[in-house]
Parts: sequence; structure tokens; C-alpha cells
Amino acid sequence: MSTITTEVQSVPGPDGHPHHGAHDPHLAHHFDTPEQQMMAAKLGMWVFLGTEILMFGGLFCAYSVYRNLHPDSFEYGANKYLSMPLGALNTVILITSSLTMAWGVRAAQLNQRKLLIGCLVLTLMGAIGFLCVKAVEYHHKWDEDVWIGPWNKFNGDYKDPRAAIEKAQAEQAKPLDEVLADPKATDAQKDAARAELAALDESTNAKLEVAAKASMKSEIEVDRPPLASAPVDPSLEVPDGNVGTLNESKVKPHFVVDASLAPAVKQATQRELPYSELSSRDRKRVNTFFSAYFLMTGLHGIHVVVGMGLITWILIRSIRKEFGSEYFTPVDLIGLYWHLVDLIWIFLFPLLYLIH
Amino acid sequence: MSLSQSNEIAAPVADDVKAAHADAHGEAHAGAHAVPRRVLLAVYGALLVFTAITVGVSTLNLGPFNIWVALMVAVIKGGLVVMYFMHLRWDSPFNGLILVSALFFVALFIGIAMLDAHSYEVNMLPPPTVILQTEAPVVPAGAAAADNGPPIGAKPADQTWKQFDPPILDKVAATHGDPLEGEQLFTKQGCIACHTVRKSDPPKGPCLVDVAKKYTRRELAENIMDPNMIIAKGFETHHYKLDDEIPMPAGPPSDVIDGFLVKETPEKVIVRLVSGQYITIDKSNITKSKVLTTSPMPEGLVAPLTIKQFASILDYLQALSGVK
Repeated sequence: MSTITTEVQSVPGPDGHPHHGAHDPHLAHHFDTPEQQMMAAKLGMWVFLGTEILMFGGLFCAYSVYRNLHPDSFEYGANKYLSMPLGALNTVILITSSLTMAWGVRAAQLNQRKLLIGCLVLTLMGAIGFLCVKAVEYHHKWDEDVWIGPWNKFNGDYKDPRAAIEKAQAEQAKPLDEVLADPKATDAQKDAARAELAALDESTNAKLEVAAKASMKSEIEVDRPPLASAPVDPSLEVPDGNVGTLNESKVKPHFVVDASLAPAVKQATQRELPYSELSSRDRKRVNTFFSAYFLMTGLHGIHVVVGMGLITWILIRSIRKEFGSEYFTPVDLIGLYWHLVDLIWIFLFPLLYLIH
Repeated sequence: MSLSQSNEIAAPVADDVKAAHADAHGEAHAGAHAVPRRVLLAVYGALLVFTAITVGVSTLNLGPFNIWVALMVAVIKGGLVVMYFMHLRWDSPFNGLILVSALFFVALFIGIAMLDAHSYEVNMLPPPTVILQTEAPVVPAGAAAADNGPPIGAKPADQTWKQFDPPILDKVAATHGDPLEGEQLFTKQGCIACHTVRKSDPPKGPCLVDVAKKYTRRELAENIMDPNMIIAKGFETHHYKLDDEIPMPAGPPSDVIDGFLVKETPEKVIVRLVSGQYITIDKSNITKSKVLTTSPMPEGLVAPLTIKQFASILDYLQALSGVK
């Protein structure tokens, strides 16, 4: 770039005037002044951000149409499977990283290089923190079989994992059964086969139990009030209307150790809208809520990953002392991008996590 | 400049002064307005407070206003980010115009899509499936002829009974049965409990005299298999939850009423139950009411029937309407 501008320097500009002598190494030859160049760069960035908003707009539109038609499906999916505390935590993380980014731009403008580097590192850490929380949330959804496509139990194409588990067990047990049935096998061989079979059964049962918890059947069963004879532990009672604890108990179903107490816990944390009260049409649309959730948070997550790459890039450049009050356009523009990522999350959070 | 570099941590106040100074005298480059640190912190604090507000409000039940409050808070937060973190307050107004136009077109897009979303919802339905009933399908007496084939719902236990099953629908539409058997099945399968077949009958559910004039054979089959596919006008189920139980024409008193809305006055609503009886409800007694998007017609009515029996019902309906 500098070689180009040096060449151009001696050539008269289109208006007949030569470029100013005290030339700025960052000034491209088709701009008159650094101010003009920066305004053009910003304009370009804003146009790009406008297209970003339009792209997310399509998803927001789909969300609005489906939520408007099936409010109960969205309420059910969000209430039962999304963790409001984790969503709020991520909101705070993103807002904080937006602050550090804005501060970084300010530091660049004021020639505070160390502060700029510190701000960029903090922003990067915010992005990593956000993705970690998101990973925890996605992991819960995988565990509870509300992932995408056929891995979502509300989807018509859902394949119950229990069938696959049982099939795998049968295949593994086949050679062992043959050993047991073999009259030529020694006692020691048979004992070993029996022990292996027992271990296999145990691990299969454990897997089946996990799968059963996530299955559609439990979805309907847990929403029923407990039988009159079911033991109700008073210590499990949750204070009236305590929505916070209700949400936590939803995210961590694994913490219910004693399966016989599960109905009592569910009863104590009874939601306003159980699955059994959804109309059959709304039941078919719970899957759509998860489609919206994964598409919107997924596309947003991709933007966070891209943002991390961009911030790393300007971080390296600022370590190389490339930015200062004379030239900080890349910091400013990537700041704009990062704020847009924050801006979109500001809308995603209430729309996805706060449906009551 | 070198001064501020060496003192960047030691002299925080001097920075702000310098920033303001640079701004006022146009010393720094191109719109290089450094946002004062007080402003940055204030905006950050406001964003946190609004996050707390939106979380707090979501735990209150404001009915339809919850979403609007949440959106308004989000707009305020977004405004703060755009104006201060993204410098739009000090930037060229043209950049703001780009943002506003993008938002305007998104609003236009969503608004127009929402206008008629209800009317194309039928086309957006996925092929729905429900879990096969655990009870074995009951084949009605006198339907054991060998050429009839197995009942539609009789599939291996690991498969599901589909409400929207194009191969079966095609077969049924192409098969011809016996309208007289269809008439018997119409009674046996309980259709007659809710549907009338003469215009002179007292109204219950939709009268089927002209139904085959409105729908093709295939459409009739679809709507019998999945009753929620199309709900006839005037037969949307109105669902009422009441404060106090009221006596029902049959069975014990109930505080939940599902029926077709016949008449609504400022004080009362008159509802017709699917069984044909009328019930008057005082509006003061109603705690919650909504219009269901589901049909009161049960699903899986044809599961125990064979293809030929299903076709016979269609023959009967077409005979009623004088089609063919």
C-alpha cells in the first residue's frame, strides 16, 4: 500500500493539484483526506450492518409468524427447556464485552495502546465466555433430546434412541450367548462370558434409563399429577410462585437422584402450561420453536465466532503498533460489528428466553 | 501525544479533557470523537439495569403486554448501544438513515407476513404423525371379507400411525366401496353423534349433505384422517373456563365448556355443544376464553377401518351430496 501511495504522490490528482506533501501512509490515493476516507469506510460498514439486520430480519419474521399462530407451543418450549438465568448471564457477558470494545475504540483514538490491547483481550474473553455458556445450553438440549431434526423428540421424524440401544446390546450379547450355549466351552470361559453379559446388561440399562428420561413418553407422564399414594417429601416443596428455582430445576433434571420422587418434584414445580394441555396442533409446533431457537442462536453464534477472529486480527495489529489517533479505522469498524452482534442478542434474549 | 501515552493510566482526567479538546478543535481525524468514559460507564450501567428490568417484568403476568414491554426495553437498550457505543449520535446522519431504513424494511417484512399468516397456515403444516394407539384396532363386525385387507392403522408396533399418509389417501381415493356399508359405518364409527345428514335435522356439528360438493374425494379422506386440516367456517371450537360450575345437559356439572359459538350478547354467550344441545353462559362467570385451532373431531377415527371400508364412507358422503 505504501509503495502505491508513494508512486501516486508525484502524480497530480484529478483536480490538477498534487497530493499533499505530508502524506498519510494509510490514505488511499482516491481519497482527498483521511476524514473522507474514514467516512467512506464507515458508510460501507453501515451498509453491511444493514444487510446483516435484513438477514436476521428473515428469521425474526419466521419467529413472529409461528409464535403468533402457536403461542402455546413457544411458551411450552421456552419455559420448559430454556434457562433464563443462563440467557441473562450471556446478556450481561455480551453487554460487558460491548463496553470493553467501545472503550478499546476510545483507547485507539487517544493513542492508549496498552489500554487498547487490554480492552481487546477482555472483549475476546467475553466472546469466549459467551460461547462457553452457549455450549452448556446446547449440551443440555442434546441430553434432553430437543436438538435439531430427528434428534428432537417433538419432531415427527424422531427416532427413539432406545431401539438403537437395545439393538446394539443384542449384537454385543450374541457372541457371549453362543459361548454359553457351546457345549465345548470350559467353565472358566462360561463364567467370563456371564460376567461380561452382566456388565453389558448393566450399562445398557443405564443408557436406557437416560434415554427414557428424555423420551416423549416421559414428557406426557411427568406432567400428570402424582398418584395419591406417591410419596411426597415436604422438603421438596418449592415456595409459591418461585419462578427462579422452577427454571433451575428444569435445566438440571439429572439432579433428581431418586426416580420415585421425580413426580413429587414435578408437582411442586408445576408449570402453568403442561404438555398435556397443548392442543394437538400446538404439540406439532413445539418442534418449530426449537427450529427457531437453533437457527437464530446458531446464526448469532456464528457471528460471535467470526467476531472473535476479527478481534484477534486487530489485536495482533495493535500489538504491532499499527493503530493510533491518526489511524484506527479497523478498530472502529470491527467495534461496530461487535456492537451489532450485541444488539441482536439484546432482541434474541427476551424473545427466546422470556416467554411466560 | 507522547505525554498521554506515558501517562495513560496515571492521568485519567487529562484524557477526557484531551478528547474534548481534540474534538473541539478538529485535531483528531475523521469523526474521531472519543466517547467520554463517564458516558461509556453510564450507558453500560443503564444496559444492565434494563436487562434486570426485562427479566423482572417477565415474571409478572401482564397478558399480551409482556411481549410489548420486553420489546420496548429491547428497543431502548438497542438505542443506547447504537447511539453511544456505535457513535451514531456523533456520526454522519446518513449512517443513521441506513440503519433506520434496514429496520423499516424488516418491520415491513414482518408486518405484511403477519397480516395473513392465519390464512396460509394450512399450507405450512408438516406431515403430522401421532403415536399408534396401543389398543389393537377393532375391526367392526361384518367386515371380515378377505379381500378387504388389513385395517389402515394395523402396522407393526414400531411404526407410527400417520394422520397424513399420502399412500393411504391415494389408495382410498382410488378405491370404490359400497355406499350402503358406508352408511352403516357412519353410525358405527360414531360420525352420526356429531354430524347431521339432512338439512332438516337440528344442527350439531357441520352438516354433511353438501360436503362432497365442496371437497374432492381425496380432500374428504384427508380431512377425515386429520380433522384439524381444515375447520369448517362457524365450527371453530370456543373454549371457556368458568368461575363456577354450571349444570350440563348430560353428565356432571362442569366449569370447562367447549362448543360452537351461536350468539354473543354483552351479558351472555350461547354455545352449542357438539351433541347438539345449547348452553347459555353468563359472561361474568367466564374467566378465560379462547378459540382453539383444533377440531373437536377425534383423531384416528378411521384407524380400525380397512381401505375399502374407508372408501365406502366416502361413497356414502358422495351419495349424500348426489355426486356421481
